[in-house]
Amino acid sequence: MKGNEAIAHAAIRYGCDGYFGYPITPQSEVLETLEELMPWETTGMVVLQAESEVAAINMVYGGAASGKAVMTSSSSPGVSLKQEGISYIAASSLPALILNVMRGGPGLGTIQPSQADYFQATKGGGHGDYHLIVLAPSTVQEMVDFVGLGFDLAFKYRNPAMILADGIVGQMMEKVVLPEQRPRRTEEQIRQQCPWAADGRKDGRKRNVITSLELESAKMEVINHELQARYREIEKNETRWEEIDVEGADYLIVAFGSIARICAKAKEMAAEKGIKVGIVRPITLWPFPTEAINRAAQGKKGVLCVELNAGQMIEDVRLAVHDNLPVEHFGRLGGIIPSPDEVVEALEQKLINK
Amino acid sequence: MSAIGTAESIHAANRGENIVMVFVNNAIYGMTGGQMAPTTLEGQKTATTPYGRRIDLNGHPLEITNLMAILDGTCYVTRQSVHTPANVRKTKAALKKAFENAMAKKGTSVVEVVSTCNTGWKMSPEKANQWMVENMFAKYPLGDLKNE
Repeated sequence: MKGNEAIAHAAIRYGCDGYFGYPITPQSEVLETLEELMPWETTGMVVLQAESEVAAINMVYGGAASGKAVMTSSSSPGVSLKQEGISYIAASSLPALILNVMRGGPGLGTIQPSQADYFQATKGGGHGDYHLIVLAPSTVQEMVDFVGLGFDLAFKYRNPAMILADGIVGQMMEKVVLPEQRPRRTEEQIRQQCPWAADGRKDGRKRNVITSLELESAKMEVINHELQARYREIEKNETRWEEIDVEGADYLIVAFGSIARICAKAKEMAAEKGIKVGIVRPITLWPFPTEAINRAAQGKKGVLCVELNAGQMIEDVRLAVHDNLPVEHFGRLGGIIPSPDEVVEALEQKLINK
Repeated sequence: MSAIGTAESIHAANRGENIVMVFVNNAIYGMTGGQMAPTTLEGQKTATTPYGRRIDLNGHPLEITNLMAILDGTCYVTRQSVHTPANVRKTKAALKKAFENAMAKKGTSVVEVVSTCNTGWKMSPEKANQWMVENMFAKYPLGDLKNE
């Protein structure tokens, strides 16, 4: 099935309580598939087409505040519209899942694939000092798996998680293994898992207040420090990446999402020419696998960062490598996908025959 | 105009901006693949209402043009269509009047054009015209709602 359709199936099977969306290409199949599957008849999951992206993210805010497992999805321009709500959700320490199937920008842009929202996803996106947990799927199977992982991490750390996909993995069709259907949590289970939730006070417990507003600077600073402490914890525990033949390679490619698969083919083509290439694929873009890339780059002759943008992740790769090793960028823009040939050519031009 | 742009549309009209709003109402989101729009009719099948729009799940069709007519900032609010040569001429006259209002600084004019989307509705152009006449005009009747 298509990546977008897989997200819909995975959400229902996770026991998701609510999905709130608004159509935008190239991810409308998420909402369309959910409407076709009618989970409100089976698991009781709410599916709602909102009047706008802003309305949808604020519905997520409300659902998350009551301890529900809720999500939304959109594509680049729509995710920009959601940023205020995302910042509020992060500031209020609420779990939620947001899917961005990136398309070419800036502005309304194209409807073809892109990775140009890397900065927005990993550096906050909205206002204030906050981070999302950002997962970058490279296969339709990972689209499925990251729904569960994203929700689990979001609830573990009470922090919103984002699946940062691109139009390729959203539209591509692959075989997938779907997880078993899990029942949605009962109200009692939610109360136990989320003692902070504003779920209606019945048993005399003290009032739970969900807010991102704090007018006293001294208290706001404490809240910020608490958020930062949690981010350090997430960095320590949840950094994920994949390495392919890094040992013994002369050159390193760093790429995320579906582009990492094009780079895997390029790696094989380079090997036929006698060029030994290893690949590091960051799976969590935040927290970024800084140490892993630093280690992998040691002893290499150069690093090529391949992204469908003008050079965004390369900034984090350069911070990770931080020595005299040349780190170059190769990318196509505006929705164009490079061929493996182009990647090999870029490697030769920018690092080998420079 | 009736979904993501509702707030801005209503407030621009309420300020009486000297502009013309042309609202092409084909009851779906045509460009993104035929999903439900606020003006989708009850029971109408779209990409996000594959079993037909249900009032209990999806709410009511939104008559945004009627809302515009009650605002003091609008001077001319009309609903037209372009499915026959006679209707094309009427719509042309309505658009001309709307632009003249803006040039004369009389306030906001709203011209709704009830339309088809034969691709999104999955019908031939001829069948789509027929479906529009039979179904759309009942909910969105043609004519002036306000003419000052």
